Amino acid sequence: MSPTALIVDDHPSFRASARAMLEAEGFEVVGELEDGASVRAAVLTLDPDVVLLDVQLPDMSGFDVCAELEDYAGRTVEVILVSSRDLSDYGELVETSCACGFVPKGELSGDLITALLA
Amino acid sequence: MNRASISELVVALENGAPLRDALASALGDDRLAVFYWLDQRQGTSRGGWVDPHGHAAGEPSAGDGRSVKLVENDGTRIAAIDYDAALDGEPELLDAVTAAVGLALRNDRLQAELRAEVAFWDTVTNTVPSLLVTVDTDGAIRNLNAAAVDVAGYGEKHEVVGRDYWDVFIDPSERAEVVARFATLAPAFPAGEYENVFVNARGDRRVVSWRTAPVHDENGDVIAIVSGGADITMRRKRELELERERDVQTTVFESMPSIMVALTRDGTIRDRDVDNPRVGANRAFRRVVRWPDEELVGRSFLDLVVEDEDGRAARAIETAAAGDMSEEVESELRSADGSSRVFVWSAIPIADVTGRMDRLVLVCGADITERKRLEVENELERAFLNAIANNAPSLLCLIDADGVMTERGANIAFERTLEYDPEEIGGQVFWETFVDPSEADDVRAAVLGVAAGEAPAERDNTWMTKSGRLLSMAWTCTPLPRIDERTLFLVTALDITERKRADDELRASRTRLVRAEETARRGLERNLHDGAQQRLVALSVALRLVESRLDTDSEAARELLTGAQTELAQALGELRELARGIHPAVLTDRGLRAALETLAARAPFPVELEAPSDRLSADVEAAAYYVVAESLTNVARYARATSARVTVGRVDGSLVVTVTDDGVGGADPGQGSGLRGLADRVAVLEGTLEVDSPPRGGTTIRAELPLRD
Repeated sequence: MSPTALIVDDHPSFRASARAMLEAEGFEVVGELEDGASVRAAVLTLDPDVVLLDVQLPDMSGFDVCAELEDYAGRTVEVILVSSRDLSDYGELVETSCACGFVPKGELSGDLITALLA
Repeated sequence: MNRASISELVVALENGAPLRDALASALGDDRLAVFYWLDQRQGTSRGGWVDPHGHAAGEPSAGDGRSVKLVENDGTRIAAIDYDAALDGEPELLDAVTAAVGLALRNDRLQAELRAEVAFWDTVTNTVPSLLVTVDTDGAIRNLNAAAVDVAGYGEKHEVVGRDYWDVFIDPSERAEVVARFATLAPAFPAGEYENVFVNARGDRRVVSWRTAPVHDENGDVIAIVSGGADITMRRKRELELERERDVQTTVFESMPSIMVALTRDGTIRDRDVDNPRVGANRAFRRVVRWPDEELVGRSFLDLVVEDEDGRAARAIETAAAGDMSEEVESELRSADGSSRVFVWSAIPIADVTGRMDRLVLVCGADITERKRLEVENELERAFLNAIANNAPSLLCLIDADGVMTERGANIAFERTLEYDPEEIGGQVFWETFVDPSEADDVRAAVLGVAAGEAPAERDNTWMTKSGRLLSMAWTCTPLPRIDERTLFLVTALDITERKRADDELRASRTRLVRAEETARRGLERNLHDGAQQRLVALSVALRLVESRLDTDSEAARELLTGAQTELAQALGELRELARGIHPAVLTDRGLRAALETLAARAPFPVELEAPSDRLSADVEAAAYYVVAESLTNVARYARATSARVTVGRVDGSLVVTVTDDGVGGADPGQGSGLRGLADRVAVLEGTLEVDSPPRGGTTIRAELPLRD
């Protein structure tokens, strides 16, 4: 059974690229979201294995969304933060968040995600 | 003793023997004495006894071995004989002898009476204070009384009698002259009067007034000259003293710097005295008025007074004429040359030393023309300073060391700015009335500090107007040089409320510019992030997918590459758009007109453009461009306009840019960051931005940008 993924990003072109990439790597993309507010509900219903979460969402930051998902008891969901910015732009924020990894959008690849989830 | 016979007695008397001696001899009584009765003694109205020398004697009385026989003639008492009582046993002898000397007794009594008279006059002569001197026709002193002896400086008459009178009564220096004159007077020696001054034998200086008269003999020849004199040394001395006193007074009168002029009680200027026609005024007065004496004497003093409208000068003279000192009067006195000087004077009643009138009026005053001139100058100077103070834009006020405002101690700027009437200011405590209560303590401490000697410093505080308006004031408090017993402080203040508001406005404008810049940068980052960057990210992912599919699924790879090309073209387009937003290249390359044509062409409504095609400074071109760009953006967003018109032109050294639309109007320049940002940008170039946007009346944005060479 293929691992399931949820893509959260406000840019449709990135969502399309990411979906193509993940599916090519054997993931099943169970949903796409363009803001942070609906992530928690979507995780409850879609129950993805991994959430590909953009840091710069129009309504809230990816770190805040990540913190909400940590309180989500009884389920295991891995969060991978993505951004068109560099890791160094965020300093300790990525380190202290509950996300299991950070991927610059330009470097997104199935291998990298698999490696972070392992 | 042996008695002489009666016949011997008669012979002795005929031979001139003194009667008493003859009687003593005839009666054989050595102690015998004779007294004569005078019915009226000289200088008295009573009778009395005298001795044969005429000296007064007591009542003859018997007793102690003596007896008294009274001799009478026709019942009249003549004489008394004091004899030895033993002779009472021989009454016949006594009667015979008495009868024998009866005639002789009467003669002798007459002589005694003459002697008594001479003695009386001698006494009188020697006791009168007048000097009596008798000289003979040769000038020798024959007789003189005690007073004359004393004036001559001697003690005894005999020291003087027989000497020439000029040796005694005339100074050596004048003797020759007196001797010569005496000779010219002979032989008649007419009566005369003269005064002489000499130094007497005791060395005292004497002044004597003499009257002389000749004494004639029975033939009418002059045998002596009698001089009666009075010692007037003291009187003359007093006269001299008086004269000297008058001299001193005259000198003082003449040399006083004050003007003095004597008036009669009716106010006419007096002459000095009968023999001196000069005016009765001192030199100071004459120098000032410069009228000739003859024009002044007899003239009314009030004629010299330039004007006496209130009658004070006339009243002053009347007061002194009535015997009181007048109050001070200030008058201008007219000089002979037509000029006048100002005097302050008073009139004083004085006694007339010439004795012609019982009282005079002395006008006594000081020339205050110069002082008056200085006063006027001071007044002008003060007026000048007041004018400066009152026209100064600064607020000025004077306070004392307790902060109390002095009367009228504030300038017009102070009154106007703080909205007080002039009379409301005096007496107010500066920090209680004119300062915002929350800062009163600060201001009070500052003023008291300066009063205690701290250096004045400029401070900013909030003051308060009468109506409670708060004003920002920059003020100082400075001690003034002492001009009277008070120490005063000058508070100078400048209303910086407006400046402060402008400062605040400038600060806000700068802040807005900085924020606008910040916002623009953030927007730019967001645009890059959301636009070109996302497309490039997608392109990057797509290329990686192409790479992974190239071998396995070449068809899918081709599709991905086609998508990637589209993505790339869009990314390039967005980057170009973005660059134009940062700064339109056309503006830099081809100038304002070309840039505005581009803006007009891209607007979603027709834009009529009128603009010069020459180049301007980059600052002005950019500002004008953004005014038009922002305005057209606003028109497109809010105005619902069908068309717009843009004009750019030079007016009086400025570039005037207007953007007019036919939309709904009602734009508020205070609202929205776009217009405010434009206003800030224009203000940086010291230009102005006006927005005229009545509801339903369209909107006109007008910017005026100064053009600098």
